[in-house]
Amino acid sequence: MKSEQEHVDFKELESELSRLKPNQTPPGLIQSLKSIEHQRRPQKSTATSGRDIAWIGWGAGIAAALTLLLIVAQKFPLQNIDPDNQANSESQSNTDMQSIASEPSESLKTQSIPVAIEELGVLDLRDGAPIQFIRMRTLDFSITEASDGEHIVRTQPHEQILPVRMNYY
Amino acid sequence: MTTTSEPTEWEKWLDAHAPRFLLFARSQTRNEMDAQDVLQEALLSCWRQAEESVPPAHWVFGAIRRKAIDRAREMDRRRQREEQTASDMDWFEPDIQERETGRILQSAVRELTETLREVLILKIWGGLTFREIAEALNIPPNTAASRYRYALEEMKKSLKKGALL
Repeated sequence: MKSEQEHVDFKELESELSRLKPNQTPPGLIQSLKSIEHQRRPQKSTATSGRDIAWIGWGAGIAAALTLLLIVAQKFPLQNIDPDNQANSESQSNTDMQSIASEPSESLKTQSIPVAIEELGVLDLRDGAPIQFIRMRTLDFSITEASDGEHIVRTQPHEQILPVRMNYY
Repeated sequence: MTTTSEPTEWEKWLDAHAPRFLLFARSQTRNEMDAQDVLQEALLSCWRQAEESVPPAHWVFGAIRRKAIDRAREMDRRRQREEQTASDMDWFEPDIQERETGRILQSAVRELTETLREVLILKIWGGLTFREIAEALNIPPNTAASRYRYALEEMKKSLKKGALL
C-alpha cells in the first residue's frame, strides 16, 4: 500500500517537475552551436588509414618477434647431439616431441630421458595456432650387451629447441 | 547563405534540444561560461563522431559530463569563482503564474547531490530512458533507476519541509 501511495506521489512530483521548462539557450550560443554543422567531419578514408596504421603496427610486432626468434635460434642451435648418437638423432624429428624414444636395435638399446624442459616463449600467429618454443635438455642412455652382462653408458646432456604447435589458447 | 534557406536538420534538432543540453551542462558546471563552453565542446565532439546527421541525445549528455569533469580537473582554482556565480544561473524558464512553486522546485533540484541530480535531470528534462542514462553516465541501468527513485524521495522530503506537497 505504501509503495502504491509513493508511486502516486512520485507521479505527482514528476508532473510538477515536468512543468518546469529548461531556460532558453542564449541567441549567441545557439548561433555558435548551429555553426558546428559547417565543421568538417573526419572522412571515412581517414578511418581506413587508421586501420592501415594498425596493420603496420601488427607487421612490425611480428617482424620483431621473428627477428628475436632468429637471434635465439642462432644462439641456441636446434640440435646439439653428440656424434655417437647421430644415428638416433637422424630418426628423430625436431618438431615432434612424441618421437623422443628410439627403437632398440639388436646390439644396442638407447633411451633419451628429458631432464629439464624450459619454456622459451610463444609465437602467437594471427592466422593459425600459436607455436610454443621449448628448450629440452636430455640424457641418452645406451645399453650394450656383452659376455659379462649389460653395460650402461650415459652420454653428456644435450639440448634441443623444439617448436610445438599449440592446439588451444 | 543559410539564413534565407530552410533550417537544416541539425538546426531544427538544436532548436528542439539545446535548452535541455544547456540545462544539463549548467547542472554539471555551476558556472554559466563553463556551461556554454562545455556544451560547445561536447556538441562539436559528438558532431564529428556521429555518422548520422545528428548524434543520439544520450551521446551528447555523456559528452557534456565528460567535458565538465575534464574542465573541473584543469582548473583547481575555479571553486571560489563557481560559488560566487552559481546562484546567478537560472536553470528553468520563469513561470509567471507559478513563480513561487518553480523557485521552490528549482531550489530542491539544486539541493540534490550531484549523482541524484544528474539522473533526475536526464530523466525528466533530458527525456532519456534508464538504459540511455546508464550509457551516458557509465553506470548500470538498475543504478540509474534507483538513483532516480532516491532523487524523487529526497525531493519529496525537501518539498514537505517547504509545504509544497
